Amino acid sequence: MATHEMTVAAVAHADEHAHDHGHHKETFWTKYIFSQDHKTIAKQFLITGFVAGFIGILLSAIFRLQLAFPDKSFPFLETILGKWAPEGRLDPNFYMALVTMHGTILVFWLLTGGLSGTFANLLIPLQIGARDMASPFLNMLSFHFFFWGTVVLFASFFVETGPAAAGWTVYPPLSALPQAMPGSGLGMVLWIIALVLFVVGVLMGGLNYITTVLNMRTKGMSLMRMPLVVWALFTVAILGLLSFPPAVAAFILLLFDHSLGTSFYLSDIYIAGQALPQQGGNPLLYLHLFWFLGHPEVYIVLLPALGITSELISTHARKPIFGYKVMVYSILGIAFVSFIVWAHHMFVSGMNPLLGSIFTATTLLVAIPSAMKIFNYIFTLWKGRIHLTVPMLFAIGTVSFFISGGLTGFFLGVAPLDIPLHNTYFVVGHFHLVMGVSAVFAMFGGTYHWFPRLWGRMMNNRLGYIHFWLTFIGANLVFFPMYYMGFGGVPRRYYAFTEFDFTKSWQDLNVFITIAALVTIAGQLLFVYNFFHSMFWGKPAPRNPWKATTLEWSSPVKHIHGNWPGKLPVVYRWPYDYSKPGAPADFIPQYISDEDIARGVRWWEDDFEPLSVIDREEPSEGEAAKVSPEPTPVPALSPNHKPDAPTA
Amino acid sequence: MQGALGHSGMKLLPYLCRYMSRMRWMSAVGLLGLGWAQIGAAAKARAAEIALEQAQQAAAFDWSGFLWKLVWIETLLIVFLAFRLIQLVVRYTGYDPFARWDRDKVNMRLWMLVGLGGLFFAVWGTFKYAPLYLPASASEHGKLIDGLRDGIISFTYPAFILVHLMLFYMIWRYYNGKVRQAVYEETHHGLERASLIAISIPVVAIAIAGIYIWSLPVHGQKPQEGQKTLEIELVAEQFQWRVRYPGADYKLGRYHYTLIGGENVLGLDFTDPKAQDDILPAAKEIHLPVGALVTIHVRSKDVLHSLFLPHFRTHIYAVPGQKNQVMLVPTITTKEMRRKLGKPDFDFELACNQLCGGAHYNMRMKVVVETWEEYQQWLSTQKPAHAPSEQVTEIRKSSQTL
Repeated sequence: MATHEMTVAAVAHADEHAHDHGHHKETFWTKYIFSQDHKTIAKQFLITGFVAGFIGILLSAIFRLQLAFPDKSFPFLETILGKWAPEGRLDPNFYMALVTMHGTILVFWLLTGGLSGTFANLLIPLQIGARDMASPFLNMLSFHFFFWGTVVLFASFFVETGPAAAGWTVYPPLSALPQAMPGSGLGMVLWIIALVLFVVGVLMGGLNYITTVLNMRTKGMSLMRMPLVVWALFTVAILGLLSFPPAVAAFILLLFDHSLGTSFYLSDIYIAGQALPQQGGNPLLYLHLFWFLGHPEVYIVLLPALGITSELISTHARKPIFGYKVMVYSILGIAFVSFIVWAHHMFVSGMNPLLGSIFTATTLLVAIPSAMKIFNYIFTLWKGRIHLTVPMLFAIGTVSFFISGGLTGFFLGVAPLDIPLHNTYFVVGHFHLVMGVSAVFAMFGGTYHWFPRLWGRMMNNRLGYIHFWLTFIGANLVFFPMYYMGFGGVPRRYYAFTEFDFTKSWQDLNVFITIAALVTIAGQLLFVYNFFHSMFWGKPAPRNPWKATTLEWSSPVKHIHGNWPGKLPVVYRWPYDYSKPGAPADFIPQYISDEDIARGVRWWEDDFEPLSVIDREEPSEGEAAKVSPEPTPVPALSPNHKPDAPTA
Repeated sequence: MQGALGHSGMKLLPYLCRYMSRMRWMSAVGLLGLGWAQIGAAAKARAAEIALEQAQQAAAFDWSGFLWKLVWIETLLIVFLAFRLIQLVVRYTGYDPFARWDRDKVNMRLWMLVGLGGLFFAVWGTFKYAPLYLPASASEHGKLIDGLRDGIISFTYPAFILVHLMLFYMIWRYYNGKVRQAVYEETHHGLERASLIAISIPVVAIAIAGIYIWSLPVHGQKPQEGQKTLEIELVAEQFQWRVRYPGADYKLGRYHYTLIGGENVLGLDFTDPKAQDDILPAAKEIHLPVGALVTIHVRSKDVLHSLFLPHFRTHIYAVPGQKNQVMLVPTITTKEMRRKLGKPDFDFELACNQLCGGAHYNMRMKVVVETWEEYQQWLSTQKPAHAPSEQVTEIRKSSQTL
């Protein structure tokens, strides 16, 4: 029996796995599709997220065209969209579908699945010194749920009534009643299924991240020695675990209302010439449930981004992150407060006004830990030695966008001021800058930074610089003017601004924003090219290209199962020992002990092999006593050598 | 010539020639590609043209469109080939004109240029677009909101500029090259404390002001001595607003959604005497008397809508199955506002601001603010809603009202 033999062989193989990693036969399917290796799963999340995100951004190109030229006809739209753009004019219902899918894809697929999925999978095991996730199988399932969610979501583009179109928040009754708009037909059902699959994936991942961080840290890796990005990803996993289930409940109840005639959210409705029998429900229930996820979701997007930014800024400024403890407490503080602010999305929904006062107070509280993080980034740069590499530029970009977007939170978080600004372009500008672009920038920065760790190759620097400056300038030109429109009271989710006197006059600015957006989107092709080209033909990466201290750079460039071929690294110090006085180099990796320094280990040299330190036998006590306590000073400037600078 | 072309240009030329001769096949492939694309585009255009001709019998060939297509394709191809050329020259000759650029210095300068320029343009735009912002509030509580907004701007705008300047200063002062050694500093308690205080003070101030003002517009207003009051109802549906005024009794009558149908568009319960004299103006206009305390009852017939009166700083969702209300006191008539703004065709407007379907963007209603006398005169020209007699009996049978 071939199958029987195979099973036995597989079991035996799994047994020897613990001792012998790497060189067993893998088929295409086990290596790339059903891989249980966290590094491969990270790649899967990254590519799926980026592909989905790129499509999501292309959707915005179409609706931006509509907003800038509402009375022009674009025949090519009919070519690609068919009946949704008769005679080249976008159908208003499909406009809403584009807006909805743009939001859903970018918030959930790119910035939750793509961002957390990628970096949690890649960094958590590698940075805490674990061989893999706590449950590699669950981890694989997590990606597959995410992937099939993606497939279902994109399939909804091809159903007859079109994809979901009630906005990414899918407020009922609009989303619950197929007679209210075409998008609320089958497209809505598929949207809910996609989201449920997605959330299942997120929860599986989250469980894994929490378990791994709590149980599988290597020797010496105490919680307060974890890199901030691991702190952020860990906190985000908890946030997701607590906030996604209510959202799933909300979606399932919505599905019941939609398809089974229940009335959780429906009451007193007269639509399409007919009074519906449903009574006693209330849409505000959905709003509460949704935003109970929805607001933590903002931080589920943002915290990993800020975590990545912490790593990048510290590494490339060659300086410890300023106020590590404050940063950790800020992450925890933001996570806690994020659970008690959700109703600031509902100030004008007609909920009890007393709640408005309470949620104003809690919302403004978020400003304190957020601002502390910003100040700490700036103080990290202060007296640093800032290498303006591509990842560093993106990290600084994230900080800049976080300032530009975060400060306007003061306007929207205050209930009375939310009255004129609610659902205007002020909101669109605010969240695109503070959590959209800033998180995307962190994701770009993280990709440029950890690309050598993912594919063993460097990305092209020059394309990276052009990509950064184009995107940074472009994104500012697109989103900053939206604040002006917000002060003009221009409402969001409008198909055209031609019907109202107070919106008409903004047409010129809309044309400007659209042109900026199209150029910026086209600029992303540079990244796409750079990404895929470098994956195969990029410059081979050295073991530790950025001279970073964290553990992920100590494992071999070529990926192996179990990350380290021999022993697990032991951690002797916190992750930010950059430019430490008296040290022979401007960084000391976490696995280098004081004895190693005294012994004269030269970890900053290009041909240094970290495994020689990691796999070394523990020094006996007598031997340790012989080592002199004074580190040998090494005056060589090699670690401070600038590889890209001209040799004079 | 040497000076004009520059040293590097002259140095590059022989390499280019050698490269071109060595890479003949590449150029050939490029030209072939160019030709192929042109032929393909031409063939496609020709096929489309033939199809069009057959359909319409007499359609002239669209030469300009065809040429534009060619221009586009060729531009893209030339850009791609140029890019590839530079890449190959760098690879085969080892001559790289950008190698001497100091990555840190160039990017630092770009930060200064883009960053400071960006700050300048942000401020410039704020003033440039000021004429398009909503004019000063036309309602009493809106003035408080405007005050709060100005207060928050006066804190956030300087903070926006200052924090960015700090960021740019760090880049300018501590970029690699100017600085060769970073200073090891884990934290600085004084600085942390200072930043904590710096952010906490405005947060507390804004919270107190915000919570205080929040209590005014929605539920805190009481009619003052001698102030007129008015209750009206606005009902949203896909995709229009309907307004209901009370009749001589100054009271709005009862309604129920199951009664909607035929001419009874709002589902009024005509067994209720208060409903019988209610007025449903035919024109898509809301008339409000200046200086009166107006309570607007907001409801929706089908999906979520939102009552958005931007000029009055008034905003509330219309929720099916839930009675919402807002209060406002208009402080300026439409006529005065037109004179004040110098725009003779200015109108206050009501918009829907919660996604409600395809024509969400087109739920406009004009708002006319006028003196109490003008308002009374307008109201007297409007007819009360009356139910056809047979419908009244029908309703009595199923007298289900709120």
